[in-house]
Amino acid sequence: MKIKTIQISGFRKILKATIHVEDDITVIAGANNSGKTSIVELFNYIFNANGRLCCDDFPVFESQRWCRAVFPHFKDQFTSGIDKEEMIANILGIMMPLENPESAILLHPIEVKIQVDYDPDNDDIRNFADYIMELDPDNSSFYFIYRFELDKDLLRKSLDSEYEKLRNRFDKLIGDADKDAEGIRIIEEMLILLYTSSCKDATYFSDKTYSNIVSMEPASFRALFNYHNIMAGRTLDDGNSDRARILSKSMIDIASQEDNWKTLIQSLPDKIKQSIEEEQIQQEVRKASVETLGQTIEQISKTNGGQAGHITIDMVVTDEAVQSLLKSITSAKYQVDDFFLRESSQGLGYSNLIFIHLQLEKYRKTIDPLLVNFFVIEEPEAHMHPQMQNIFSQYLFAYYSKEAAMQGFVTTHSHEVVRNIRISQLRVLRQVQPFECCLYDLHKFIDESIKPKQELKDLVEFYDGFYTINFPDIIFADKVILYEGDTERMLIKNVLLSDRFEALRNQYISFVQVGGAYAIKYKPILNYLNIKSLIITDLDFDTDSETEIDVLQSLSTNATINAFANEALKKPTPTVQELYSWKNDVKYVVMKNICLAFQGTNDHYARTLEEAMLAKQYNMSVLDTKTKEEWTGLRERDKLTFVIPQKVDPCSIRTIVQHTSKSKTDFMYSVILSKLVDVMLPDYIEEGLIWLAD
Amino acid sequence: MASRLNNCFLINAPAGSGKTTEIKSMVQRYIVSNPKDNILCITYTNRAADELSKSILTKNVFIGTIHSFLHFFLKPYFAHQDILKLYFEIYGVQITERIENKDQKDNIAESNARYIEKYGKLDYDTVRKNIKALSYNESPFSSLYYGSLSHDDLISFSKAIFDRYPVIRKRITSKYQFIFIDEYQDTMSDVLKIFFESVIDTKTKLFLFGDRMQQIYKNYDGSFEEHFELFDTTNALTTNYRSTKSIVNILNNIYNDSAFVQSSSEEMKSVNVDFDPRIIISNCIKEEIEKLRKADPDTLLLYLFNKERFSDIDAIHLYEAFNSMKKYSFGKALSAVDVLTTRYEDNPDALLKLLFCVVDLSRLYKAQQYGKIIQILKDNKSIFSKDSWSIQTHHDKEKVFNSIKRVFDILSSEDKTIADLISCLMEAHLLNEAYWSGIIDDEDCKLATPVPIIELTHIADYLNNPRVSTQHGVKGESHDSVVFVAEDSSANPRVTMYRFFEMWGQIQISANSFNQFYYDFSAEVSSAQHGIGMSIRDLKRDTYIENEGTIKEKMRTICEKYKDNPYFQFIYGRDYKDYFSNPRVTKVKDCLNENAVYGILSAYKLFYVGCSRARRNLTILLDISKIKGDFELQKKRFEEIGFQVENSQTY
Repeated sequence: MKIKTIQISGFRKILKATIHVEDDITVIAGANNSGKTSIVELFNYIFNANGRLCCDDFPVFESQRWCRAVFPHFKDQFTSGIDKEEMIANILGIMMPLENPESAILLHPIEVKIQVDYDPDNDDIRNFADYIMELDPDNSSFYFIYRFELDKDLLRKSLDSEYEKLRNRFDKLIGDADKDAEGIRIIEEMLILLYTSSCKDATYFSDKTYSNIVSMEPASFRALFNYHNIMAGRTLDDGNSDRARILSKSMIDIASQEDNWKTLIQSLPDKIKQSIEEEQIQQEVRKASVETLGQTIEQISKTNGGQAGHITIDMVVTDEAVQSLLKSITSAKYQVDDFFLRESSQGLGYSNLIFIHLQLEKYRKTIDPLLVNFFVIEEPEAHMHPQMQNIFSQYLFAYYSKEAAMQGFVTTHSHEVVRNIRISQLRVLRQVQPFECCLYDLHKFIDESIKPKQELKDLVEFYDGFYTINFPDIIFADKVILYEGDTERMLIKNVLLSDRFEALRNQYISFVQVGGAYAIKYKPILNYLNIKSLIITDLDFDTDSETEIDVLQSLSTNATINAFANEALKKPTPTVQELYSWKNDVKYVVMKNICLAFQGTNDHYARTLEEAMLAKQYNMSVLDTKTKEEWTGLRERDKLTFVIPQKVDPCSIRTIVQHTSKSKTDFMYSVILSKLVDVMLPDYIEEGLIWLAD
Repeated sequence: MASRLNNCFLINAPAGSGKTTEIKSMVQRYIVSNPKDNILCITYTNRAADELSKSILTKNVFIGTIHSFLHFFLKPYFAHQDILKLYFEIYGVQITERIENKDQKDNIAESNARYIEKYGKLDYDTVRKNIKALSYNESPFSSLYYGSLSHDDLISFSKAIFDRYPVIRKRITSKYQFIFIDEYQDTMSDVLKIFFESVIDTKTKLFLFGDRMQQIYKNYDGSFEEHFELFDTTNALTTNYRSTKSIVNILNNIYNDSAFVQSSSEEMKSVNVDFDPRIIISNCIKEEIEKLRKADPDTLLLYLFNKERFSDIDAIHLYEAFNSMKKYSFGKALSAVDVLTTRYEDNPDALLKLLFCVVDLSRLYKAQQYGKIIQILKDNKSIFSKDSWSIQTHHDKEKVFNSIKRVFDILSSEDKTIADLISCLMEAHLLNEAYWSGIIDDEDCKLATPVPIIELTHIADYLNNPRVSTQHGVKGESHDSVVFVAEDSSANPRVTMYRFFEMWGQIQISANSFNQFYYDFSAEVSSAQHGIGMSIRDLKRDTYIENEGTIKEKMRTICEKYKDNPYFQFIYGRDYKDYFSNPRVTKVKDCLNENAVYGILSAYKLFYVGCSRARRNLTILLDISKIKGDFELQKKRFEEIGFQVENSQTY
């Protein structure tokens, strides 16, 4: 039995998300505050009844919508002068009308739909058989729904108990919108609390359309899942004491699940008891404490009519007591050469790694093929340096993928963890609005965007090849800048230091170096993840074009520009003139979430970054010429580094840039050192960054 | 013969073979070795289910009657759109006919009017729209407008669901690794088929427990016979733990089938008896019974419950009312005796279930066990209204007890009738409306309303007397000394005990072959009826002449087919000869009527079951005036079987 999908709706920032679950390990990756912990907490709650959902678990906007809708009704009722009983009945009727259920005023319940698939030939579904609701004979799935939803009886009780408090609050309202604002805010908060405390767990099983649903006990639902949340880096020793000895204790826990453990320790309780008896410990304790205590009790009990019994002690040695003894006396040591080191000697990362492994092993022993077995590891990378993260995640995925009977979720914000998995294992969480997170399923991306199109087979290969290089970086980023070469990167990083791009500086921007020939291949994934991205590329028209007419009529060799143009203008091979006028028409060349920045008419016929910068600095066309002398003077004045050819005089910017091609970075250093970055920043890049910052 | 299946077992469990104990211990053993497996135990009665549940305390085992199981199992689908569609597919025509009410039946007109009052109008689409979910009403009548299924419809509709949606079959076998069905011989073929078709080609093991000889109801119609052939029958229970060696010997001889021979247990071998099993022939049964009772006051008397008996205990009107009901008439699965002698928990008659339950409650009332009263009301939510058991305040309690007291006052008064009791129950709002409307919808029930209520108490008192037992209380509990009073019954169910003795005197009888003959012959009769397109019973002179050719041909075939069959020759030989010498319609009715076999077969089974209830001392009491044919032959047979035959005639 395997979980196939988990659909979450209306939970905190996750308004709607469908997680397709891999048969082995599914990785939920996201930056901080993207909702990873929310998902884990929801799982803990649904599958382990751990904690209780509360008012903050409903989406902020949803709570607000409900408050706005329900407040006037409460106000009407509380100012109508009718008695309590009648008012409660009225409010129930308004919120949950029997006649027109559509007009109910309710929060959308927190809802999780779970599809569990089984292998009809091999899986034993005895525990699940009662939940077959799908009558299609070829179907081999079970469908469950968990809801945190309003219960009428609970609501009645809450209204009854909260009545006075609400009454007081409503009485204080004076009818002045400004002065009442705070009062209303407090009432709204009370209403949300009232609502949440009237909600309860409800579980259902259903058919595949989730429309024929039948209620089941939450306990029966939970009994179908063997779920465990593996803590990473929470309770470990803090470095200089071995008191907690978590690792050692975990080892005993695992051992105690072995079959022969019982026979091993069976006789221990008796033996221990025997030795205790031999040492006459019991008698000593008795003598030392009980007898004196006994006298006191006797004295006191006299005042009480002598009813108190005699106090005595007894020693019962149980299996649990033995296990706890073993736990407290066993300690794990690391053997390094001839030295034995304590648990705490190896640093948190290392201990953490072993701790996770021990917990997983313990969990593995509880696997029950009659249940759905799945675990969650939250951010296993905690306390590990990148190299250890890499090694550990490799080990983790390799090892637990072999255990066919269990499924795992790993949440992470580590590039190294992401690097070690298949792209189809990845689910990316991103915050898209202040109160909204979205989940992007890369399995679905592969299936839908790539697989159906045979001609894009090379794209799959591309992803496989480049995946590990810069992919992990993209998925954690708020925004992405794809650029041609080192000089762009140097320039942009420097530009971002200026105040007007402060907003961008505060976001996590992923820089991907990729030429125009390949940038287009990132388009599907950037579109899918819906990350605001800027592609900075070069116009790359024919180098032989020496006149303006030549330039305008020549074609670009930039595959990315041509692909965008083809999509927008339906022209597979646009001329530079067409590209210029396109750019002038639309201001920003944007397709969905991607802006394409390349040289335009303001850039003086430049076809590369350096050309555009020089053209801007000297306010001249790239094709126009200056004498060698003039160039030398300007170079001297501006303290720039570029090569003025010996044999061409006069020469154009283009010629200079051609000759400088081997020292482009030196050129950029000189721009930066001469503090000319802002002045020389070409318009096409500036525009792109403004768009990106917006 | 087809090769047997390796997961279907038929465990023959003759009387006294410790079947209940065996099921219990099989379940317990199985749970211990397979703690994760799920087990399903289908018992015949709620009482048996309660009994079995006492000793099996694990949630992996479902114990219940077939109705409670199917309801539990299929309830989740009762609101499923596809299942509702199936419901209308099956009952749509009946619903339409009921709406039209072409025959202008009063009760239907009334119920239609009630519907219109409630929903404004009554047409197919309204009914379709208003049924949001089906339900099981635990009564003998379906309320088709409300999607409410009766006992019988629950079974047949379940069968339809299983047939239409094989995934439900798969659900049974995925969930349950072990299925026990007790009293398979009284289980409807539809039920047997549901389970058989589900387990076939799966790993789930199906065990049928029971004994052909102990069949009492006509639930099972013989249509599962071929499937029984496929069952593994090697695990019969062959030790009789109940009776002495001589009684076990008699039982083996009555059964007369080498496959089902029982041996007596070690403990019973050393038990002393007061006398050897005996047949006493008397010309004054009443006196004889007195004599036997005096000799051993603990003797259990086994009666056939018949009209005379009801008369004896002053309940003749009640008997006659039920006996004249169409639903308990000849040939129906149940008889008036069946329903009048069954405790309320398992009573299949809606009205009697209610009445017997009220009688039981009145006993608890007298014993001041008030808590139990509320518990019973609560346990029977389908009968009693929420008002009666949902007690939240002291005021509620007072109200309920006052109304109950009024009911019990009526129950003990000489001059009140069932109608009075019912109207009192109604006025006090103690009854569940749906349950009640099911009863009044049934024309038959009107027959019972004028009966004095006191007769109900008489029957209940009599049945609670541990010294007597009826034919339907026959199974199960054993007794040290048993007197079996041989009687005939012409009413439903027909029992022709003395005709059975006569046949036994002349030919060898064995359980299997006799049963088989009954099913075969019944099939011939149905095929004859099918051939002429009408019931033999309804044949008149003119219709007979129309069909004479077909009938004669059929009877020739039957005559030829069974010319060497001793059962046929004894029971029908003369009838067929008479017919062929002088073909008349009245003769046809004798010849093509399986009831003649049925009466003897049930006498045979009853005799066997009666004998099996004795642990040590067994007496069979024969009325000399009723003996048919040559008694010397019968005497010889009795002696062969293992009885002493004594003559105790008083002159």
